Amino acid sequence: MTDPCNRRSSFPMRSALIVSVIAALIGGCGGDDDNNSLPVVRRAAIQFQGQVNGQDFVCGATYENVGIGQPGTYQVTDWRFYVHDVALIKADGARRALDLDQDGVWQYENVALLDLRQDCGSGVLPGNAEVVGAVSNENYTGICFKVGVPYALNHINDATAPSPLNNSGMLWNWRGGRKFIRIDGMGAPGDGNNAVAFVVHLGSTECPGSNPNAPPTATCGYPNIAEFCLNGFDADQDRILMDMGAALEASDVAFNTPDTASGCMSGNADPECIAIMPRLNLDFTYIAGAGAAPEQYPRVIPQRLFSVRKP
Amino acid sequence: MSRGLIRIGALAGLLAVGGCGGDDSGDNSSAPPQELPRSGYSWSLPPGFPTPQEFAENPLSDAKVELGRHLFYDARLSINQTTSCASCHLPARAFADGRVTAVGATGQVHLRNAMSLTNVVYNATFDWANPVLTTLHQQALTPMFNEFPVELGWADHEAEILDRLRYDPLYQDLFVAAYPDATDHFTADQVAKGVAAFVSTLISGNSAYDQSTLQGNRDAMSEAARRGQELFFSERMECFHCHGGFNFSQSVNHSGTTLPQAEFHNNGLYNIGGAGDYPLGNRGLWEFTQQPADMGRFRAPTLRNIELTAPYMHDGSIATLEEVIDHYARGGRLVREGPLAGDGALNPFKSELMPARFSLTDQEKLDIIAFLKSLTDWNFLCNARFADPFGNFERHSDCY
Repeated sequence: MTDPCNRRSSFPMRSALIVSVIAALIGGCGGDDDNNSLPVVRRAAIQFQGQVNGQDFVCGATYENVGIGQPGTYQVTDWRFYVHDVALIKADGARRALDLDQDGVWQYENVALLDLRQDCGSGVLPGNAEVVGAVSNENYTGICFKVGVPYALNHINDATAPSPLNNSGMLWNWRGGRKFIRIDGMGAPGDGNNAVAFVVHLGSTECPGSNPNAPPTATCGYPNIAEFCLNGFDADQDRILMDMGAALEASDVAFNTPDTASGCMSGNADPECIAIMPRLNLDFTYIAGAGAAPEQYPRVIPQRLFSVRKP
Repeated sequence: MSRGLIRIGALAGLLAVGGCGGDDSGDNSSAPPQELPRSGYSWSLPPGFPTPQEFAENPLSDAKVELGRHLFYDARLSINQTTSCASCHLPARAFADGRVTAVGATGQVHLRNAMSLTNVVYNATFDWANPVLTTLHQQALTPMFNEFPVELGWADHEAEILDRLRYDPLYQDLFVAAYPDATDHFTADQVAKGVAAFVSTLISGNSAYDQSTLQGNRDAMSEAARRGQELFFSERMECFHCHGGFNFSQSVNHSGTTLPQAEFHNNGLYNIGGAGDYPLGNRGLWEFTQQPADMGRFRAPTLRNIELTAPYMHDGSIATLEEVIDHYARGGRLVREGPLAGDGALNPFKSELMPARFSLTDQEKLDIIAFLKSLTDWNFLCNARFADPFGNFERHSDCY
């Protein structure tokens, strides 16, 4: 690797980059407040960390006291999610978009795939726990990002889509797009008849069209894209925690309504989603069946799925 | 951005000691894929399909594919000249063989069902559950040299078999054309590479489903198949969690693939003694890892041409598509008695992605079968480019 900035991308602000390059030649590319030749852009690598009830995520590990059911044990075997529109926030509320490195693997345009698995028992996985790019070199107090894939990129052909949008494990189907979040897990693991597959797969629903293998004919009825904004975030030293224990705090992970998806796969008719979707910072509409009146379950405020961890 | 600017950026990075942001741990596993070999081979790809990954060790050419087509169908490639690759990969059955499990040249019975070769070039791994077998060239050597059981029987008979080719004027021409720079043309490795080249061209993407989905001919699929498609992609049946994407298998690889996508799943066929065991010799990924969670995990094969590749599963233990649907509807198979007794639905290592159970009406079951049959590709099955040059193996009767 000849470029410690790990930057392979094109960059829209050419003149800004030239200034930054000159500044970098003098004093490195990080921010340095008392330096008169301040670079106009700086690098930022936003770090993510998975947890369940405060315990770090380890693929295949079983966590305790998850949700409201008994025995409350929950084994987690997958943890991937997309984010987009990552921006750092100034004290006055102004936002500065993070211009993502176009690395050909984890990031494409304004979308990044996070894969918090390291080894799920069958060998080391590449994994990715950070979003990397360049941002205007100013003082920031917070960060905002959206979970999911924007509509314009969510419904492109998986066979020819660029990475990370061609990641087969994150595919739903063409009309439905990608899984925005993929948490696979098992409630009451190892408990014989009581073990229940319980996953959280977030994605857009009610995407119109008569063919699951064609793009939707219009935007989805429930895009299910939520923005998360966190205060007191220092990109240089803090991490963003994603705690699925918070998303599952009102669920019984050892129970799944028969004839519905295992856990919650975002379906509007899936009772397990009632307790989960509002804890993903999303308003959820539950529709039991044809003719049933829609029930509204507003997002739980404040959201607790993501938080800032200081070093 | 111009190349010059990229260079300046790189230079700046080098000078600014320590760099910034990017945490380069030295792990290159997430690096972009290596540059493709520029074989210049012209793939004949269906609309909407990705370009297969080529491997530098075996660049493709028309001549190599043509050599491979002859080798694939030639019974002289087996120890006793009874069996060719095609004997277990029949063109009339979408390159599967219709047997419960395969039978080698000397009559030894294999533990596993012969897989269809449909779209194998897109497989992330080969065989039913071999995580380290990642090229068709390596795979082709397996049936050639396998001794337990004997498949083609090359072990200890390599020179004898190669001599059959060496003194045949047909193969003299074919090998020279395929390997113009080689000093010794008649090697086992170059046989395997030729077979791999041919097999990698067995690309199917012109089924009724494809015509309806990617070629603008909506009516190519029946209404029943269309209803079945909705079921296939529903959260009730969950078929697409393992059989999703353009190849109806998540475990795919192609030139645009950047991250490992090999997947293996336990689908609840067995649960011997209630402890999760699968029958000895057929334990899937576990045989490589000995990790309990890998017990019974096999690769989900493509569903393209699935109508023609019965019987199903790694051990051929389900005879029909209808019974496959019943198996998944129950959430696993109950073996009531005998040494394999146990309820697969309760296998502790069963995939989380498989529904606990689901129910279908009779009509829905017909619809899902109609959808699976819409994945049958007659252009593929009847393609003369894939046919036996010796005329011993017939294509499907509907091709004539």
